[in-house]
Amino acid sequence: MRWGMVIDLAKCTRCHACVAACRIEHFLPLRVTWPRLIALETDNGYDVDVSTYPVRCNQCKDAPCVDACPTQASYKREDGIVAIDHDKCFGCRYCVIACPYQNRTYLSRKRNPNYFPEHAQTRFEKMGKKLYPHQVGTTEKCNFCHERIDAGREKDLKPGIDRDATPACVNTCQPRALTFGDLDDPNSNVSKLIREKSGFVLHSEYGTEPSVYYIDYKLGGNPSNKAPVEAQTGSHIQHLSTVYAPSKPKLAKKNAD
Amino acid sequence: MNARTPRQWMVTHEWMIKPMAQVEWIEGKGLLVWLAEVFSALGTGLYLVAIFFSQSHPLAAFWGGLLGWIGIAVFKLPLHLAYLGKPWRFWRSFPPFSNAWKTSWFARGIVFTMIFLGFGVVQLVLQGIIAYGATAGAGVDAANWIFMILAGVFCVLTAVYCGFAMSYCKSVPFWNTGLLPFVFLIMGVADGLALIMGVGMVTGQELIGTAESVTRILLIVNALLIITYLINANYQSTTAELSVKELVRGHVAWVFWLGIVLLGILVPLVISVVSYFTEQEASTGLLIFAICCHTVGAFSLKYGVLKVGIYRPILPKAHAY
Amino acid sequence: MANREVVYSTCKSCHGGCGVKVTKEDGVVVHIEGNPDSLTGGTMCSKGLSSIQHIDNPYRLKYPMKQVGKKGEGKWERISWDEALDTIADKMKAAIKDYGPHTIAISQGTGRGYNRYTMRLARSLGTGNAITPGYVCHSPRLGLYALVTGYGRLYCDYHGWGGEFPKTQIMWAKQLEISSADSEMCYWYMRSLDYVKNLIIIDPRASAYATRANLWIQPRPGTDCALALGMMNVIYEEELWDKEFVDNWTFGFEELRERVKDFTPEKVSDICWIPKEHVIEAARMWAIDTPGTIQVGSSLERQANCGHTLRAITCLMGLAGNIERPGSMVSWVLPDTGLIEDFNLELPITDEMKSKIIGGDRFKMGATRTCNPDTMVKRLLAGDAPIKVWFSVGGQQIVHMANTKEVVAAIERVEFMSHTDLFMGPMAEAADIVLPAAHWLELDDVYDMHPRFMIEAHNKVIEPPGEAMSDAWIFNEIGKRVVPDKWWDTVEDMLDYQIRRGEGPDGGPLKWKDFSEKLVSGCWGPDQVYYKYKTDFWREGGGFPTPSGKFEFKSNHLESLGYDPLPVYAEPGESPVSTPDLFKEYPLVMSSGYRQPFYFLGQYRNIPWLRSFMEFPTCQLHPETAKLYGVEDGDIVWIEGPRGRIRQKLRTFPGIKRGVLMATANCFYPEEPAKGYHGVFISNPNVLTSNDHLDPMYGSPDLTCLLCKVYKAKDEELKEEVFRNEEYGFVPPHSQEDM
Repeated sequence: MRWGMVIDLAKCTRCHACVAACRIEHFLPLRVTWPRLIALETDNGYDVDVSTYPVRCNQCKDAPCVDACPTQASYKREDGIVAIDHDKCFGCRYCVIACPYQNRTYLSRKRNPNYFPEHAQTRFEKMGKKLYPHQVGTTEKCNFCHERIDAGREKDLKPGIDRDATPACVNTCQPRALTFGDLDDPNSNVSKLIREKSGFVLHSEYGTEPSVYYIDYKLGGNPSNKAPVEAQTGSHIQHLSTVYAPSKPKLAKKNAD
Repeated sequence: MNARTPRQWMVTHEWMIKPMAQVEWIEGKGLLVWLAEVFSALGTGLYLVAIFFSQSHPLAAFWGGLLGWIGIAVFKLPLHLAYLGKPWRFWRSFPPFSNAWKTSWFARGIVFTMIFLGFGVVQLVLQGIIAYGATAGAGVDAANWIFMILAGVFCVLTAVYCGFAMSYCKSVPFWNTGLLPFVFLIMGVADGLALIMGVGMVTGQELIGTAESVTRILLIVNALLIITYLINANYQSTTAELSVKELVRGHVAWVFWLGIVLLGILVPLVISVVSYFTEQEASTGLLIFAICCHTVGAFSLKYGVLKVGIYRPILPKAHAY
Repeated sequence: MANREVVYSTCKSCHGGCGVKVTKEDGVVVHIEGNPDSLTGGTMCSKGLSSIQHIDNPYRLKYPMKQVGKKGEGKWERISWDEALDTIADKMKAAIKDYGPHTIAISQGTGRGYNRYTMRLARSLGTGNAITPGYVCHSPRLGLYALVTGYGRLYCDYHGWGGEFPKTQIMWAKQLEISSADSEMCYWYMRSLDYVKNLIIIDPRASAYATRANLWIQPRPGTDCALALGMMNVIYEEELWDKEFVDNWTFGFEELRERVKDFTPEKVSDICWIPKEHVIEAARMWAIDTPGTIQVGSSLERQANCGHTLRAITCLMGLAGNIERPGSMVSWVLPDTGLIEDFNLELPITDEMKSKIIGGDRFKMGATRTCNPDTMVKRLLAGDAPIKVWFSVGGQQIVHMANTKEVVAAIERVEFMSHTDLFMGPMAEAADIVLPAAHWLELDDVYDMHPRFMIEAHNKVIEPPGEAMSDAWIFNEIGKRVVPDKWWDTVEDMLDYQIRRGEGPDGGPLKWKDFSEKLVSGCWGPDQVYYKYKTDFWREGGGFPTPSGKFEFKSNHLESLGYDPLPVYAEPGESPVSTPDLFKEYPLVMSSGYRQPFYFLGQYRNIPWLRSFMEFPTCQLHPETAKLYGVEDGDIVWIEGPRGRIRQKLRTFPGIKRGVLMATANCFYPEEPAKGYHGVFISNPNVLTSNDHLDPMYGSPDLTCLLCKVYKAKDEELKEEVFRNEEYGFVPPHSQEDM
């Protein structure tokens, strides 16, 4: 099993929702951003290309950052995710330099001001310190939301298919430009996309074997405009107009965790 | 800039399209890394040269070795630790707490340094007995030899590891070359030679002549090595070429021409070459001047190389770089 | 054990109305994400997600306050709700008594979720002078669709409910991929892209999908009408129209042929600065590969020829028969709760009220139910004081209206103004009383931004800060004080009233309590009806609800109002063609139509997460154009026009038409001091726009097509605080300089 992501460059709209979702999911310090968008805009004289590349930790199979880490704080999980044990990291920033994709950020005190620097912390920030503490003086990066994956798999959910086991950025993406799944499974959604749309990775020549793939193509040219049955019936939303949600006291679900 | 030059939209991420220099190891607190690496080069260089003189000039060898050891123990290591985000966790990098030394040059470096410091302190005690003790026996001499070899090996490793650590970075093509550790090693030894002359001037031992003759050769070798390194980088990739341009003609050109070329190589070389032709040792003042120049050169070299460590841009279509 | 609660609600960070799932832990909102069981499938954008930073935001307004200094000085003093509301009500009553109700203006911004309260308050007071941005956004479209189809709403059918998705999609000056508005949502649009054959983007600046679309046309800003006429010319010349539809269901076909005769692809190519092949190709795709949709952007409505531009585009829809077919332009069937706008429409606008509408005599399409704000500005400046009391909610008229300097001068002359908002802003500073509003996470309300086929529920998640109250409550309190018979005892009564026609769980009228759990009431899937004109839906025996009973290429109604019944092309007020002398001095065509996905018009610049994406207003020029005028990427530049100059940061961008400058619109700086109205004169493009040349039907000014020149600002001209913005903590989160 090796979790991977396929990013659809044709669909990405540069809306930044993935960044916002990540900030909420991980209570990110104000000046740290795990997933980022890079704008590539070229004009070679006859063809203009306006593209947005969402980048995040590539979770490389042969990860230079893991090899470089002097304390083994960065390590490779069995499911292919490169994770960081923040209790082991001593903040040497060698991995920040060694990552060929520049996807790691050292959390300095300057990167960690209050949301409103001149003012008191918001309740969200305070709660974040409890629920998802960040350690100043260590290095951070995208972790493919492995907290969500682990919690979801305990409930037998499938990452990439079931929302509660899927990274937050994938869930929130409005154009559905992000797809998540198992790269080792040839029938998974990601493997199929890579195969059918000739997925590529960034800087394959480094030999790092990233788990984040990109696909790019021209929009339009679809052979049929016939709507599938579920779209015709609106079945995916139909229940909303007929079924009542639980009554309000129940709506505020109490969760003992 | 031509029409193919990719333009960024968000200031935030322009550095991933355009080739941009690394900052973590040279700006702000990153200056500590630079200083640590300079002391690493000076300390190991001085120690290596000192043990070279162990038999012929035991007193200078002792003081030189001691100063080198101090450079590592008192400057390099604490500077590195001060740079860390969580310094008190430094023990996590060496066995038995971690096996990271198997893959990480940084961890190896810390291990090498610690071992060198261990062997080195023993060797220095022995060297001290030889230098000052009236009755140094053959046993002491033999032990000194053994520890000299042990400490010397780890000293060389300590001298080269940071070069390997840097050359490991695939996305910084200027560093990503096997030449880098040797440039650092040779330059370190040359620095050591210069410094030992200073030590020699104080201890009054006549090693300056020998040192100068080796320096002459080393400086020429070094100059050739740097030229080879730059030419190699220039043809290796566009990003490395940019690094070279930046170093030779860009913002840090003054560091390169003034610090590395003029003060680090030309001035000491001229002084030693002149003394060769005049068959006369340079005056003390001139020597001190040459030593200072050389040391400035050591600081400049590390600064320049760290400063122009430019990342290859992340986007495939920006491959022109 | 942490106490975890989940509340479902609806986002109104833009017009979208995406379903939201909010998680609270020990009463603190710790998570916002999309509601997976909603029409947007659990997706959300950065604006909605960043709503979290509205909570405990120190810049929020918390208490009613009154201005104790002069307008725009920023000297405020806290007062009680009773004092604030009574003062406003007394001023209104006095104005009604002394001058008549028409001297009261009720204004709104985009009015997300409170449109109907604005209009009901205006009508219950007896004034027709409601001020909305409708005349530069959406109203022209609705009015002109109404002319030809007899029914004011035509929407793109991206849903596939009728079995087909659009085969050809035209995005006309629209970035639907980053916006959701009024029955069209980015989520549905982007899903339908998997079925599209031809995607055509018409935009001088590359929107996200432009370079991957089948055809990307870059017309000169302000010439879209000519492009539409040219496409029709091709359709006529090549006989590509939908014969069945045109023969049976349309009126004025031959007259239109006559009108578009001149607009050959060659001529259009000259006007629009585009290759003639683009006109031909687009026309063929549109007319041959049907069904198709045209998504119109409001940039077209910010031009002084907007009426005819939109008429031309509507005719284009009719020629291809793209009306009421599955996968084309469709008007939706209402949900069981009925038309929510009846809440205000049930109070009729009397002839007396109509006759007192400012600009009503001139703009017979636009100023029939709301006033023309630009005319109001002129009259205020002329000193005849048509407005005595201005009750403003949410909108930033100072920012979005043409000619900022005149707008500020005019608004300062209004005798009494109150403003309701989340934050201090230019309009609040110009007011005498400000009222603190609740954010959507803090209120219960009905959301109706997709009013033709669904309404949604906002459920209160947390308490508002300080004494902030919901818009519904504020409107109701004012209404109660001035015209008690038209308003309700409690907000809940008012909400119950609005949705009473829906069916509750017990079979009786739908109540708010039940609706808040139901979250959405809509009509979709097989419940939608296509081809309404072929049935008795609009008219006994079939047909359109127009005077002729047909789809009117030639509009009888327009003719009766004294307008040209067929579309006419007119150059913008200032353009290379209409003002060649001015063009010599100001050699760039300027537009401000581009929108950022992380701001909503003037909103969200005080939300750090969103500000981090673009900390400074930015204008775009093609690299070659920039070179021509000696400016470089990253420079702070002056953009100068005949009426003034502004500063923005320059980005060279190959995706923009050469010779066109695209400025960021609606910008002020919340962090700037009250004096100078929070920096509204520093970068706002409307400092440059003119309010003298207006669309004859709608009164819309040329906000997105004017002339300018550009040059680098000198260092000593960058004294304002905003140019040293790192002090505000809005530094981009991942910049190199920032260790």
